Formats: sequence, C-alpha cells, structure tokens
Amino acid sequence: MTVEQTWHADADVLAAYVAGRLGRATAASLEAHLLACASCRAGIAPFAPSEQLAGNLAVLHSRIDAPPAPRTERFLQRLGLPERITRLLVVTPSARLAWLIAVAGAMAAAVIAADVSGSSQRATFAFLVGAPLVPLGVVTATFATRSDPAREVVIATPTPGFDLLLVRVVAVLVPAVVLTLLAALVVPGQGGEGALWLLPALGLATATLALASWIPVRAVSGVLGTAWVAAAMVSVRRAPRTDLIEHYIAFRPAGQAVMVAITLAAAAVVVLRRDAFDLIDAGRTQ
Amino acid sequence: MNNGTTVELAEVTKRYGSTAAVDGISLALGRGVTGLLGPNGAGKTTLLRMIATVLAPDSGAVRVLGEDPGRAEGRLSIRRRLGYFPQEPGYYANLTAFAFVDYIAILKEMTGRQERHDEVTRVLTQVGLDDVMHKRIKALSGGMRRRVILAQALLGRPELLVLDEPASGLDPEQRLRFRETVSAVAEHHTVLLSTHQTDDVSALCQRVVVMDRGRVLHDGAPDALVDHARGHVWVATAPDPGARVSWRTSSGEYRLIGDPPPGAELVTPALEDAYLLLLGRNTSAADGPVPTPGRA
Repeated sequence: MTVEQTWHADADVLAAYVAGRLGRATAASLEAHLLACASCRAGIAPFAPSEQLAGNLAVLHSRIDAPPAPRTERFLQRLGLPERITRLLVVTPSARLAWLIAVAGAMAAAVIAADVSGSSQRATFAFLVGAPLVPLGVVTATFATRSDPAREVVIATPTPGFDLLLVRVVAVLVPAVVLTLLAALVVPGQGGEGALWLLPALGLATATLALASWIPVRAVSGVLGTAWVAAAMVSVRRAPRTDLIEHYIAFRPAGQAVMVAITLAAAAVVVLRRDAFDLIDAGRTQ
Repeated sequence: MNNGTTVELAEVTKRYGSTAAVDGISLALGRGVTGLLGPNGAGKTTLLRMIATVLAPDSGAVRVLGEDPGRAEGRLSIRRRLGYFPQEPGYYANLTAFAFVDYIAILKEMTGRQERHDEVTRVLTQVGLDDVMHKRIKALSGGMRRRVILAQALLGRPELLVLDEPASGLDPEQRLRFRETVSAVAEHHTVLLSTHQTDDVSALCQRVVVMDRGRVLHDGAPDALVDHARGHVWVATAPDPGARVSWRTSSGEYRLIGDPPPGAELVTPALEDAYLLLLGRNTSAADGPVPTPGRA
C-alpha cells in the first residue's frame, strides 16, 4: 500500500545524509521516511557516489554468490591447516598429479608385495626395490613445471618458490610413504624387512630435490631411479633366491646408514640452494 | 638510483646458448607508461622477466623499486610491490575467476579473508568481470581469461606493473577498458607494457622503447620516433622497389616507407610507420652498426 507523504526531505538534508553528516536520530527518521517515499528516494540518487555504490554492490553480490570452498579444501582446513596451504594443495594440478602417482605407486607396490605365492623372498625384494620409486615419481611430478600452468604468475608473488615446493612435496610425500608402508604391512610375509625401502626412498627423493636445483628434475630422477634399480639387479645377479635382500648393500645396515647420510646431506643442499627454486629457469627446464 | 627512477638496468645481458636474448641493455624507467615495442624474438619478454624478478641476468645490474632482485630480501620486497602479467600466463581452468585471483591474493600475503575477498572483487570489477567472476575459467572467452590475469596483476595496487602483451586477444571495447585501467594505475605508479600494437603505445605511453635482437633501437617519446620518420613515408599508385616496406591500402594506393624517390607524395607518418622504418633499417644493417636514430 502506498501512503502519500506529507513532507519531503530537502536537498541539503539528503546530501548531508549521504555524506554521513546527519545525527543518528535524524538519520534514522530519514531512513524510515525513505522506505515509504519514492520521491525522496529518487531525490537522493544524485548525491550517491555511483562508483562507490557499484563497488559495494559488486562486493555484496560476490559475498552472496561466492561458492563454498571445495570439499577437499574444507576437509583440510578442518584438520587445522591454514588456508594458504589448503588452497595451494587443492588448486595446483601438479599436486593432483603427484597424489595420483602416490596412490597408483602404492597400489603397484602392494601388488608386487602380494605376489608371495611363489618366492616370498623374491617378491619382497622386488617390493623393496620398487617402493622407493614411488616417492621419486611423486617428487618429480610435484616439481614438474608443466604441471603448474600458472607457474610464472605464482613465482612472481612474494611467497617463496621454495616454500611452495616444500609444502607440495611434503603433502604428497607423506601420504605416499604411509600408503606404501601400509601396502607392505597388509601383505603377509613381509615381516620387519618390509620397511627397508624407507631410507633409500628418502635418500633418492631428497637427492633428486637437491640436484634439481642445478639439473632438470626429470633427468635427475631418471638417472637416479635407473641407477637404483640397475645396482639392485647387478648386486643380486648371482645371489641365491632365498638371500636376495642380504646381497643388495642398500638393505644392509651399512647401506642404510649411507642412505641416512645422503638424506641429511641432500636436505642441507636443498636448504642452502633454496634461492634457486625462486626463479623460473634456475637449474630446471620446462 | 635517482629519485623517481623505478627500474634501472645497466649493461644487462641474458643469453640462451650462443644467442643473446638481451644484449647489454641499459635503461632507467620512472612513473607513467613505458611501451616496449619489437618483433618476436626481440628480447622483450626476457627483459620483462628479469624486471619481474623471475629470471636472473647473466651479467649487468638490475635494480627494481630500489632493490636488487639478485638478493632474496630484495626479490621479496619487489614482489610485494609488483603486479606481473606474463606473456603466457596459464590458468587453473577448473577454478572460477574469483577462486584463481583469490589464490594469487593468498600468495601475495593477503591473509585477512574478508578484506582479501573484497580486494579480489575490486580488481575483477575493475577489469569488467564482475558478472562472470564465479564462472569457471574454462567457460570464459580468451579475452576474459586475459582480463583474469590482468586482475591478479592489479591486486594490492602495485607500484610497478609489468605487462607482457596483455592486450592481445582483446576486442576493441575490452582494449579501451584496458587502456583506462592501465592509465589509471600509471597516474601514480610505473607501468611497463610490451605490445605489438603501436596504437596502444600511441594511446597510452609517454615513452617507447623499441627493441630488436636484444638491443635497444629507440628510447624516447613516441612523437620523437614519429618525427624521425618524417620525409620517409609516401603514397604512390604502384609499389617502389626502393621502399623498405610497402603495402596496398584500402583506397587502392600503396603506402611506402623508406627513402622516397624525387617528387614522391609525402604523407604524415604514424607511429607504426616510424616503427617499421626503424626495424627495416636495422634489418638492412644486421651485420653492421645498429642505427639509433631515436636516441639523443
């Protein structure tokens, strides 16, 4: 119902209202009047800063229309991770590719480990040699330039490239390692030997990161992965089938100690070379 | 660095193998819009990447916003005040325009969620994407996608805006809007704009740097470049083998650039004529000294 108004606000009052110069009581009275008076609503328009109002409207629409964060991101935030990390993990295709490799690699490792019906020792050895390749693939995929289409935009932001890389690597390396460990545990016949791959895996992954500050990551991971498998094959060439693990030095205590040393040294190099991860071409090709 | 100088390059060189993409360039840039013109392979993108701190020079000194991008602290300080539009920006196509720009805002250290969202909305509105900001990027046109990248470059009102061919793929209306946006930023800050469009340079830039083969051929006001072409542009009814560049216009006449024959009908040169003349001369003198007609 339209009620005819008996009074109208003059231009000075309307201008003062828009500028925020009216007292609270007067402003409240005017607002009540404006709700009912089309004439005064029209009269106020010339005083309203249209650009600011358009901006406010856009902000309002944005807040109303903004879709909620993706489910994965909300889940990660519920785990207590800050938004800058959850968004980083969710949006970048390189992270998704690395996750895919982690899951596929762990499943492949489980299949290898499950092949215990023939020779338990042989299957376990194959698992121990193959499992470190999962983190290696994960690091390579995380690092791969082409997997992050917006990399050049991202690298020009104040967030250091090293921090971004570290978050991604840790985020996919941890699940990859856990999944592969679980794969070893759920398959019968692995026993305590099922974890002997862990230190070589860390050594290979950190060495890849360190060398990738100078050399393209795919070349590094290709050489290291091939060398790892080739060394295993050569070392057990004449070993009895029941004693394969003992014949590969990497799985003996001395070899495991060397892997720890490689991991620590490579980690130190990565930290010292952290600036190299902050440029688009430092030691890495597309 | 002098007062007012935002970007300073001294004898900067960057090589890829045996090719010098940037070959001993020295420049000092200040507030306003500086246009960077040059053919493909001239070294424009390499130069902009070094200024945008994503690429290190092989030799020479770079200072941006008073900082040395070769040092981690300097790089961080620059990146906090930089907006960058790379030549091949790349997107996360499954994200909405809003989510993508919001992600970049997070990386630009805008931690307050609501303030950040308001800033994201502001820049997307500024580039005319307020109606489609919640659409996935893959559903947007090529011109809109480029405006998404321009929006992220405008986050936080950067002191230095480095734009590498931002206007390619924009329709005329979008280009006008782009010019409005860039000129508004340049009132108080420095904009470095690489483009193939001489009309963008004429419309926007107080200064133009022409590059070819990694070197600077001209550095000065666009009008100074145009002045250099006076007396070297003419029209005729047939092509002239003596012209360095010629083409048939919509009127059926030929527009020719070079050294005119006696009695030629000279016309007022445009910036594009001067640019083509300069490049033509540089091509002719490829193995000799590079002429620098625009330099004082």
